[in-house]
Amino acid sequence: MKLIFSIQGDYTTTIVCKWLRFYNKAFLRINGDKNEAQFNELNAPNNQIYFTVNGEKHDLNKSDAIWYRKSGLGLRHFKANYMVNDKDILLEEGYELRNIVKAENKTLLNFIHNKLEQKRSIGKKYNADLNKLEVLDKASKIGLSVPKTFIVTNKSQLQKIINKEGELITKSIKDNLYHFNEKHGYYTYTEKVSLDNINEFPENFSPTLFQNLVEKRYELRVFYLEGKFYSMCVFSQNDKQTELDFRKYNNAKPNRNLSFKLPETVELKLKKLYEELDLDTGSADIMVDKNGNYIFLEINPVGQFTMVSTPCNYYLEREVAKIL
Amino acid sequence: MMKMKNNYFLLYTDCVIVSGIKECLIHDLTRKDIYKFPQGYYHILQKLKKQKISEIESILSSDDVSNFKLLLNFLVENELGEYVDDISLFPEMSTEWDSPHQITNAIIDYNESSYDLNDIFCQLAQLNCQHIEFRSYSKTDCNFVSDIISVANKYYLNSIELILRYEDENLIDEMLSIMESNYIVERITFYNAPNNKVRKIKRHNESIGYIVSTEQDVVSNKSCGIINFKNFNVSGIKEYTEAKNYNSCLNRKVSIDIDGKIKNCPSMLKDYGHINSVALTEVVNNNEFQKLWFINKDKISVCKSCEYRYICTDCRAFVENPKDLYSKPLKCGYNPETNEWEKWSTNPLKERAKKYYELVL
Repeated sequence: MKLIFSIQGDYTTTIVCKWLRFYNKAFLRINGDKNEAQFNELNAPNNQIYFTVNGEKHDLNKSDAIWYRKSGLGLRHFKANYMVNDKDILLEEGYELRNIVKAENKTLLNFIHNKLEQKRSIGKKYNADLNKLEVLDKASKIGLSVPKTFIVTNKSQLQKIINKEGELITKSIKDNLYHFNEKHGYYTYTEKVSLDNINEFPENFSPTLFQNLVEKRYELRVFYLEGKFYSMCVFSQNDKQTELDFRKYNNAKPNRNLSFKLPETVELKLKKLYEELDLDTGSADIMVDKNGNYIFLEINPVGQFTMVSTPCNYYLEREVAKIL
Repeated sequence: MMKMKNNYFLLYTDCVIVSGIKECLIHDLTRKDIYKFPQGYYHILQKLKKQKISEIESILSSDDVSNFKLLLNFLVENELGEYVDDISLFPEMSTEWDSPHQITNAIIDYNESSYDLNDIFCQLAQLNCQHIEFRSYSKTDCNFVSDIISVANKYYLNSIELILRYEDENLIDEMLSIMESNYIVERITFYNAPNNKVRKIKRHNESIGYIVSTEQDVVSNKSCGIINFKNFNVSGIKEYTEAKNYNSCLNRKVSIDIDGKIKNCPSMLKDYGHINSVALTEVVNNNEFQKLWFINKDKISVCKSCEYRYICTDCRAFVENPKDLYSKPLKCGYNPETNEWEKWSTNPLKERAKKYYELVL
């Protein structure tokens, strides 16, 4: 059996599941954002890890391959049952009991994930959450070009940097904001910062990342799977709407997304980076500047790859199903 | 620092060139457009993939050089390409086509009481079928349609399309409300209707459903297979690669005709047994049944040199020479040697095939 960790409605996962079905490979998909799985029992001597998934009991340790696409097991899959009496006594005092139960479950959860991922696996939960700054640091040591990066806490520092470096961009140090309420959807994109718009900034702000603006020729989305690269070139620079962040899609005139052959020297360095980060899969963002330099931006270890697979006709979902 | 040389012209690799006899086409597979050029441009466009602009210009006469410049300007203006340093970074897109669905689409012709629909939907689900076109030749009511939808939902089909006989306006109103909440229904067409009308239904999940009424009588299987420019599907990568490798109409299709016979297409004469006695999987895995899937346009006479071959709907049920599986669709009036569309039904050369298929026009 193949074990898949994903979220509900993830299209990439759905296509991989279709291929698994086509190849007659049994699979179990656990959507981390749903309460469809519950921990049941771990029997260490017998090597059994039982979960109830959609009403059926499964031994997850019976799986022969794992695909960690996204999300994974979480505390919600380990139900804590409190007795009323406990609630009266301990829960009121700083939620101590709750914290202890949480820590218990977290230890169990980490053990289970790491144990399962020792099998043949694509992706791993433990390094799904990369530190962008660490990745940039490592990439630069390996010899990949990276944008000059500054983390700044006030306007005058920022002004000095702009005076020296010219226009900058800003983006999150960790994850992008992606939040919906009833009236609005909020997301963050990569935005330009120059002397023209820093007046609106407060004098002091929390540590914020700035990088020098790369005058790009085009940008690349490079999917990596077990030693192989599948690259796509996005011609986003010809369109004002997508120039800075191609996720501001122009639906009327979609950007060209073409298959691309990454030069071997860049591939070798990138491969080294993946190995150092202990990643067997991921999507790298690279920009090619006006002078033809390849500038590495970041790696997303759990990026969806259908957006590369479909326009380049790569059939990556089939590739994943074959490997599993 | 490297200097930009812009030696080459990149015709974006999602814009594919298709040769014809008098004209060639560029299909823009991302923006779903086609552009026509005189066939003479075909080789020049091909050369762009390998040769530097200066190399191409050096073998052209001065008149041709200025035409060549105009061509490149046209391509830039229409965002079909741009100047690049190194063409080898942009390998051609793979033209492979594949699908995890053993059957991607099915046609079911239905006439009261002929066979068990639930069983057919179940068999199609086992084949991972995505889409069903359901055509009813008998009186329909709202309950019947609801039943079909619930069976389709039960077996996780992606989409269905219904073609029903017009009864009255009430039925259309009932269908409007059914479509609002059943996203699985893409389109309902009522034939023999008193008028031609298209209603669009915007649904909560952003999808749009259509209810079409048409005065046309679509009852006869013999009315299928007309090749017409306006029916061409200016397609994306999936459709283009499928048409390049397989038969654009029949690939991974299975049909059940009005009598319950299993066929590639209901209009075909050959059948593979009755649905009540033969399993669909058995037929679908039969080599002879699959043979038609592999007849792409590059194998069909006349069509193989037609510039429209990868957007054409094709038809293998009615062909010019009924004894030759690889002959041109009977109901196509296009001549790629002259670029002219003629009325196919009055062409004297087609009389014999018309008689063979008992087509009365």
